[in-house]
Amino acid sequence: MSIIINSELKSRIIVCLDIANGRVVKGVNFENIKDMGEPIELACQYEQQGADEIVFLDITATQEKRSAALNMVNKVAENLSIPFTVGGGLNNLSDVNQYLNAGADKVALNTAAIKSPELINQIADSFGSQSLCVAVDSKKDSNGVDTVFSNGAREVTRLQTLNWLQEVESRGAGEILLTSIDRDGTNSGFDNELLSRASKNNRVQLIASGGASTPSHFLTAFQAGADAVLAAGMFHRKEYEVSEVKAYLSKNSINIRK
Amino acid sequence: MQKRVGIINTDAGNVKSVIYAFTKLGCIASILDEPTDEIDVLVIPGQGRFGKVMQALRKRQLDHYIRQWYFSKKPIIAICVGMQIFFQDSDEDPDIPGLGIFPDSVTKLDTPKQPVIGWLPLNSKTNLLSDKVVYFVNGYGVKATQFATAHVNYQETFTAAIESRGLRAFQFHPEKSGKDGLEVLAKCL
Repeated sequence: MSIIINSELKSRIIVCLDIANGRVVKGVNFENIKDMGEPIELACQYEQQGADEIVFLDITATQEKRSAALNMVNKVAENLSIPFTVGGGLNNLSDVNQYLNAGADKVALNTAAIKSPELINQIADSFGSQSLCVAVDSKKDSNGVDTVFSNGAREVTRLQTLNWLQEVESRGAGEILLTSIDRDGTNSGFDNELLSRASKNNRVQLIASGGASTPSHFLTAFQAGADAVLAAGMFHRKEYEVSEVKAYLSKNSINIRK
Repeated sequence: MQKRVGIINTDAGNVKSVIYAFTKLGCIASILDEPTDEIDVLVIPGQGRFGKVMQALRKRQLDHYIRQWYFSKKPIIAICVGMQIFFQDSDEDPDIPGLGIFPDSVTKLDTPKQPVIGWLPLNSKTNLLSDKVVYFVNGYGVKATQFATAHVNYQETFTAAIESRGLRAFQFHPEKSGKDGLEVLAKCL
């Protein structure tokens, strides 16, 4: 565990709401989708529970649903008083501009960044690095090499994960959301070995995602070097409240916001 | 009586969260494109980069307006880059001068992870700010100034708030800092 002297920055817990047709959904390994509730209501509950941030993903799957999605972002901005990120289906500067103007603090790019990496530079130049989180879905290939997947984790790319993380940072990403597809929805904990290597390789903050089901999974991810941890299912299924996870982390000497 | 809050248009995108925060606190919040006397509190929001914000202010002659408000001790709330523009200049856009009301410069912060994104506890002796934990999003900051009323430590120590005349300025985003942030804003009104 890397020790930073005189740092009082809190380790963040981020709750992820996957959106489909205006509802929060949850799947396992990106499949078997279940309805989990109403987005704004859930987001407000998580703020009350002590979530440090909310991420809304796949909010904008199609163009014709764009206005409904923007309307939702606007309502989220009106109701939440913590930061939130939106991602999914943003393909160009004008998409980004629309979502930031609707009240989002940050946007998350995944496949769009892989298809046109210069979009990262453009967003950083136009809106600042802090407004851009690049999401990376990673899976081990048959040789055990961490490899980037695109299109909702369905397609393999030629990119090695650690190389891609460095490239998105040098192009201007403000933070990185790293999801282990092998772990996503499996409740078996984060890929801490990958987190550890990624956090040493990068100077932007690293958000760990994919696999959390118990407070101890958060602890080991922070110990491996994650700056923030993102989870969804264990909170939506009401197995734990954010405050319970925070109490556990605090007892174990992780510096969290109470 | 409801306070009228004028939020300066800095051409830098999202000011919705700032509007909503003041609305929650019972104010009438509006966007300001030009100088006016029809408001009680002036707000300089925290989106955008230093140079672009200064250019937008100069284009609308709002730079003079902010100066006048400041020197006549009227209430101003400034957030993030809105605080930074009160200084001489910034590493972010070295060729574009700030308002220069305070003598120090805004510099690139040498924090362990960059930019700073997240929650930090305020070190402050003021009633307004002590014990608050608030949300920061910045790559640049003011290391030290005589006007500081709070600072934070993220390996590097930097200014989190300043107070001078009617100005209360924050490097953090009170509108994004949950209950603590809203409490700070409420006490500034």
